[in-house]
Amino acid sequence: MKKEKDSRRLKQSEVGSSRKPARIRAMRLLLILLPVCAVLVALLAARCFSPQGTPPPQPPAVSRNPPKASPRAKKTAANADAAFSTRALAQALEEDAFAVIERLMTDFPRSPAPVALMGTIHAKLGNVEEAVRWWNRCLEMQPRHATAYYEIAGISLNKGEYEEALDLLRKALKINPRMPGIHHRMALAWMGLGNMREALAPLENEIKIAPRQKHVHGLLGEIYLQLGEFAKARKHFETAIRIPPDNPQTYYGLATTLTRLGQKEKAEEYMEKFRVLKARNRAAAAALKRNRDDVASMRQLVLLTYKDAGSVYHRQGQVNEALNCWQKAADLYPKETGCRVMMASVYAQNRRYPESLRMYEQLVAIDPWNPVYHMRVGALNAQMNRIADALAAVQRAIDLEPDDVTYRKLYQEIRSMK
Amino acid sequence: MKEPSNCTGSHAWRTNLTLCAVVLILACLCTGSNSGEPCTIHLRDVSRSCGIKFNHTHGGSGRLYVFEPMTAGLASFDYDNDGDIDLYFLNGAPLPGTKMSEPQGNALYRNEGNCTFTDVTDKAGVGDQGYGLGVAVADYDNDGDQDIYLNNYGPNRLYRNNGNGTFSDVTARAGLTNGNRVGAGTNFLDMDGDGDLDLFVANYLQFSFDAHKVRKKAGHNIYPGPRDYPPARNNLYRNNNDGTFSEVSTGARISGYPGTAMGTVCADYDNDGDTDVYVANDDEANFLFRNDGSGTFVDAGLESGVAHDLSGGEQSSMGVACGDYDNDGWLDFYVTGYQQELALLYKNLGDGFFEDTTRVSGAGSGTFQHVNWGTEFVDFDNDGDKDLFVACGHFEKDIRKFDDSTSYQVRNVLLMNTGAGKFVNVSSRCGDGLAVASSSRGTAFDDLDNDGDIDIVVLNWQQTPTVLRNDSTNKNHWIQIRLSGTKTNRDGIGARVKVVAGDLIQIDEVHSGRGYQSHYGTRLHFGLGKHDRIDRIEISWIGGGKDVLENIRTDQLVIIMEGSSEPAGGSQ
Repeated sequence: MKKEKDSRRLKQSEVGSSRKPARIRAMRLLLILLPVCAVLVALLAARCFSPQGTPPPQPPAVSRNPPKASPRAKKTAANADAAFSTRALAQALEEDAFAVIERLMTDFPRSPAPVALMGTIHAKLGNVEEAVRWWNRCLEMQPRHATAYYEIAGISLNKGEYEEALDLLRKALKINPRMPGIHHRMALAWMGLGNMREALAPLENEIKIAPRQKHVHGLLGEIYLQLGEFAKARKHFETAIRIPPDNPQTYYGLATTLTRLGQKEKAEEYMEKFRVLKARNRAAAAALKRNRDDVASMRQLVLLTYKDAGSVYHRQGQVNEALNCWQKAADLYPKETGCRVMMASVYAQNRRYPESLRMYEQLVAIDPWNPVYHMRVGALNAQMNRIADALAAVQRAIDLEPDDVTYRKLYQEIRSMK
Repeated sequence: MKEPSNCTGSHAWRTNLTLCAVVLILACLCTGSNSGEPCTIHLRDVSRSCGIKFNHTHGGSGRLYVFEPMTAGLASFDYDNDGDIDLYFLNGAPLPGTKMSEPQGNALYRNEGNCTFTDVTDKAGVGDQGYGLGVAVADYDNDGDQDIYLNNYGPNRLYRNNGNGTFSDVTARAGLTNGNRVGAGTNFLDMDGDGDLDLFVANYLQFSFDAHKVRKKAGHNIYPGPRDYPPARNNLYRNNNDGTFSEVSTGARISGYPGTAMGTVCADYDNDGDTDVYVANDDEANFLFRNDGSGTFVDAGLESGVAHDLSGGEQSSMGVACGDYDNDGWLDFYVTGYQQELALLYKNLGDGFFEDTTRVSGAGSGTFQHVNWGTEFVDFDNDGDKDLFVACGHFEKDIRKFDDSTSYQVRNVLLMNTGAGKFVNVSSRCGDGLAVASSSRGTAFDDLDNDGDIDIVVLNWQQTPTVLRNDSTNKNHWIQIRLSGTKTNRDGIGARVKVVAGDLIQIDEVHSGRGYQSHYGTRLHFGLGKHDRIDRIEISWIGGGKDVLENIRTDQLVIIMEGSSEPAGGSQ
């Protein structure tokens, strides 16, 4: 057991030190190392030009052995004995998560993806330092791993190291300019530095990637509010309010903006709406808190692990393994959308339309406000010649997003199939 | 035309390398610091040599009662009227399950000068053994010496100063026991302008040992949160001017707002001449009780913008600082909170509204990672603008076992005001004072050694306190002002002071009870930068009286009597 645990922790000496040390120390070290590096470069050059050439890259020195699972580790969340105490169940779930990743490492020893996932799990468990070590290991294996940069940047943001976060995010952005959330995080770093003006561009980019992001519009509203550009702030808060479900913070922002614009009556109206929504959310949060325990948070961790593991298998062409992982995630958390979207997509790609439709119907039940799900239900029904059902579903998408021409176009196409 | 260099071969290489090294070192020194701003504040840790042996205890046995992390505040004031500032530390007390041979109780330390202190608790008779949380100090009976009110878990305590170095417990006679509640901040204020001091008593939540809950995280028992218990109503007592108080919470409309109070401050935020009340609530919207002048209040927190952060979120607010950081003539608030929350700066816009300027001002720097407690706006370098100090530290001793993004014991934070509405984190550049890692709670700010700059005392949870002597070396001028009311309350609580020195105009108010459940700063302190003369000091007393003093010498403590246009006394 202890050995297993140890294999999940990277020794500090195994990887480049975490990004914590002060720059001064790093620069001093650099100064000392400069001549040494020069010698090493010379030696490396000599080696490269030697008849043998460059040696093949070595797999990372992390444990790739399948875990010698204790009886407890073998228990899954689904069939865990009810007699288990909360902690024991949480422990079993934690073991489950690690077991999945270790299997991934065994199956794909040269892939950085399981290593990155290990970092994510450690971060979720509150082992931030360990997480950074894994992500750094990931970068050693694949220097162009945008997610690793992105994740380490997140840790830097939490520490208030905004300059460092920006550097890392710029690296990630260079590798994957369309990475979801990256512009948002970049904006947060600029805001942390007090530079509101610089924070605007990344958020405008984020909206270009996905326009229906309530929190991005909300943040843009807050920035314009702080810049004293109230008309622009108002525009973004109003856009955010139009995206369901209702979120109190956008009403608060809009009320504040309208107060600054001197429209006190309208401001009070929105503040009242904020009050009502806030009270509702507090009640919901209280209920959530009552039910929250170690098992619930660990269940989410396992969910994330299965979800990401599924993606790794899928990228490696092991579709059935991928579907298997996502299904486990879906079973664990009936309201999870991400894994269902992936399953639906894979089923559709493989012409398994009824299974894909079943997934999208589940998604509609989970999030009835999302027009995309309705649209997909419509498209799949059309694929299976259920025209009336198809039209009804697309009509719901149109109702939710009347301005989107895609849905109207699809509606016309399906109607012409009649 | 350049002379041809006579440096050749390895000599030239060495010279270049040396130059590179110098450039690199300079570059890294620049980038490694928090900012290019030079730090003009120097704080020295003198805790070991100051003679304070007080050791704080939360009194817990591991059962993790919800209020254990909240103890305690402290007070700095001149209890014996000898001209220097003494220190009073609050302590926890044994809770069920704890065996303690002798409860330690609160402790009073007399300032012997030169930052050395002597324990006079027993002699003074102020070693309350209740469960200490909040404290306020003021001359509630207008007899010329300062009294102490303790807001405990359990019965509260009013110590009346006898004027001879001793105190008497007059709680029962005064009617200020305040039931058996979990206390928080407390403040003396003249709510109705009648010349005597009334009392605001904040309460944290409704607790009973039967309703005790323990939370779990990653297999560890952790403290419950405020939402695990019903919120509590705060209390307001009117001074009957005969040594007794009457509870007026309902009539004053204070009791209509149950909350989870922590730090509190009473200040005139809307410049209408009466004292309002700010209550920082833990995981609830903060209150700003606006006074209509008669001692009747309405909560204006939401509409004025100080109830929530910029996004409309409730913070787990802890301490509250009140001061005019941008010298625009309006009092601003700074509110500390929990980890993963920025401490918030609310700039007073002067029209009844505040703006959360935390990010644009840099005032949240260094606070996000940690749980933050005591705080205040203080001009540590006497340059004419107020800096910020933030006490930090978690209450889960094992926090790093399940969250290593924060720590139980951490260094406190000092944010230097650049004078342009911005703050720069200089914590790592202001001497050894902030190298101390503790789990801090209440803070007090006063000139302990009477050398013209403000020193810091920090009550550390489950530890001895930290005393930081301000050793900032600059030639900036300053003035300290002690008000003495004649028609209004003797300490001048609630009075507004405006100091005009050339183009530098500053305001401040006398507050009783502030920061994180603490008391300090009855003597007002103004840094004056290079101004060596004060043109005018204006005092607006509670109730409407005004006094103006002109052409005042700097670098001295002046005592100003109500109704006088000349200082009543002072010392350099």
